[in-house]
Parts: sequence; structure tokens; C-alpha cells
Amino acid sequence: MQTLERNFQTRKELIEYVKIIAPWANGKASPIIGGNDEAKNKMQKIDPVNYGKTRNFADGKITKLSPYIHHGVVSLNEVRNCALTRCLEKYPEAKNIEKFIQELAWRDFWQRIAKIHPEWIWSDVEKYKTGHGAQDYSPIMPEDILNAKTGSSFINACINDLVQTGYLHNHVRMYLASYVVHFRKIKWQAGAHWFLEHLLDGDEASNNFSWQWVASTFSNKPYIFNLENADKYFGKFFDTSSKNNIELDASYEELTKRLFPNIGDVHD
Amino acid sequence: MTKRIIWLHDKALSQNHPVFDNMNEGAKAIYIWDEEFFKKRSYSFKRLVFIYETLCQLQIEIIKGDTLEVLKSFKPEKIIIPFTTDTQINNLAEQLSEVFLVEIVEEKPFVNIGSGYEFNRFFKYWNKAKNTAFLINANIESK
Repeated sequence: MQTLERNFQTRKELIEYVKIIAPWANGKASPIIGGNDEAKNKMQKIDPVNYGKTRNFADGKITKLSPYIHHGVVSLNEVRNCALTRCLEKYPEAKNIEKFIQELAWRDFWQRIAKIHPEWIWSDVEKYKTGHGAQDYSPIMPEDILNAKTGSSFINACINDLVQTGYLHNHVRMYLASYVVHFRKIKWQAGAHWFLEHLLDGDEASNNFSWQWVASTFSNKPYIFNLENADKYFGKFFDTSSKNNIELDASYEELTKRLFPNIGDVHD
Repeated sequence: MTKRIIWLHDKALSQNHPVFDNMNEGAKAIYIWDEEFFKKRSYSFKRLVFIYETLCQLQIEIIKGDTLEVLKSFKPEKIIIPFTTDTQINNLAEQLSEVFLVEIVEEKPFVNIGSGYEFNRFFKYWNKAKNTAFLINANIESK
């Protein structure tokens, strides 16, 4: 039993110290800084109204507060109160910030489910609605995904973001989860474990139930995307060219036939 | 002997958590840097740095060791733990409750929908939650 140091002059000193007390841990520090001070900075910048309009885009007005919420540095209640205080005087119509509050509510929803059914966190809540059985999915994450060496430049860039920063835009999480489960037929549990290793906000309940939502074991249908969608929201920052993303470059009808040959259309 | 120990885990790293209300009654707050816990989770280095940076801004003692052994060594009358849905932390809390008096303290709720409801789809939950989701503190009076 040993009391650990708490006072450091610089971030570099702190990182060196963590290397000493966690020599087994892989990788490098994220550029995302921990702590209450940084959480407060981010709280001051939240823009709930524009969040609703732009959140699906790579450069949308997202808060990046999730690592702080997951670690309890700030609570959902505090973030909501901050959003209301900052916005309601200016925009008295609650509907202007509905998407922002709703996104916080998704986390609350998953936590409530996990509280009542902790046994669902790592098991299929429902059957896959993909025309495949659970036994058709591999429990092992392939090396090309772990090493960002898949056949898709876009997917590789998303994986590199995950590994290097420990943070992913919510839309990218859905793309990656969909790619892993539906394009590569890997069990969602393997993907969820991989995310939890890297994501600074990796939370068993939110992460795993979101994977199940994509997989269709906790939703009415599987979530899929195509290159056109990735290009619309992320094309400004990632390589979404057809020649480097052949696997994703198809219409939803074509993808449905290819990925779920045993069932009809699953895309709205 | 310390009578009350607040065991702060990495899902509740805030001095504002209601668990700290116990500090007025002379409780000691600790975080345990448990190598085996982290290894079981395969936490990457970046996650550990984020946690450590956050810990350094809290008024708590950071102790390296096995979670159960460290907590037992204080021989506390009571261990106070912030609520979490994390399965591994809850397993540890359950083991502690076999030996010590354990109190679980919940964060202030996000919405006020009462108990007894079970929702399997988000929008069923949202139809109930939205009544208080847009209100400061979900219109719940503080104790």
C-alpha cells in the first residue's frame, strides 16, 4: 500500500509518473486533458441550439464532454442545467435545444436499463434481426481492423482516431460498429470490448447497449451506412473516395442484399 | 481507525458528488489505484492518464494497492460508494458488503420519472422523461 503523488508542475511530468505506476499499459497519452478545470472550459462552450442542427457533421457543434460525463466529473444534471441557463433566456422555446437534451437522455436511458438488467450488458438482449444467428458472427476482432489496415481508407482513419485520441464522434462510432458487426460479421461483444479499451468515455452500459442498437439485438433493425452518407458528413476531413472505399460504395438496396440476403429492406 | 471511508471509483470523479456530503461527518475519501482492476479492463495508457489527471484535481488520497485489501486495512465502520452500473465495481461492492456496512449514494437524477417503469425502447422512455428533462434539476427539490 503506497500513497501516490498528486502534485506535478507540468502535464509531461504527470504522464511520466503514470508510465511508472502503470508500466503494463499500452499506447500514448491522448491530447484530451482530464480534470474538472477542462470540463468547466468545455461546459462554457456548449452551444445546444447549433448542436441540434450540426451534430451529425464532423465539424458540428458537439461538446466532447462525454469523457467527463462518463467519469462523473460533471453529471448529466449539471450539463443540462448549464445548457438551460445559457440558452433559455435567448431561446425560450425548449424545442430549440431538444436534440441536445435528448442526447443526454440517451445516456440516462442506457444507465437505467443497466441498473434494472445488469445481465444484459454483455449478452444479446434480443435476437439479431439480420437474418443471421448469433453463431454466424465471429467472436474475434480481425488483425486488419485492430491495426487500421482494412480495405477502406475511411474506416482506417476512424480506427486511427479511436486509437490515438480515445475519442470518436458519435456518428463515427455508429459507422465503425456497423462496419465491424454487419460488413465483417463480428460479434458486437468483441467490438464493444475493443471500444472500451480505447475510448476515454468507454462506459459499459452506454457503449454496449449502443453496439447492441447497431447490431439489432436491442433495436428493431440493424443500422447500416454507405459511402455516400460517410462522404456527406465526413468527406471534408476523411478520404471518402470510391477507389479507396470499394466495400462501402453501394446503394442501401445493394448493401441490404449483400449483408442481409435472408431478409428484405432494413433501411428507411 | 477511520470510521467512514468514501471509496471513490473512476465513474464518479467529482467533488460535487453527493457522496461527499459525508465529509462533514469526518469521512475519509480515497481512490485506489488497483493494477489488477485496470489490467482486467485492458485500459489503455490514455485512459489511465485521463483518470490520473482528474484525480489530481480532487481533494482525496490516491492509494496504490488491491481494492479489497486497502479498504479492509482501514477497518471502517462504513464504506460509502457512489452508485455506478459498472459490473466489476459492483462485484467489488458486493464483496465488501459481506464484511462491512456499505452505503451506495446515487447522483442527482437527470429526470423525474419515478420508479417502477421499465422501458425497452428509447422513445417510450423519452415520452415520460421529457416532462422534466427541460427543467433545472428536473424540478426535484434538493434534500
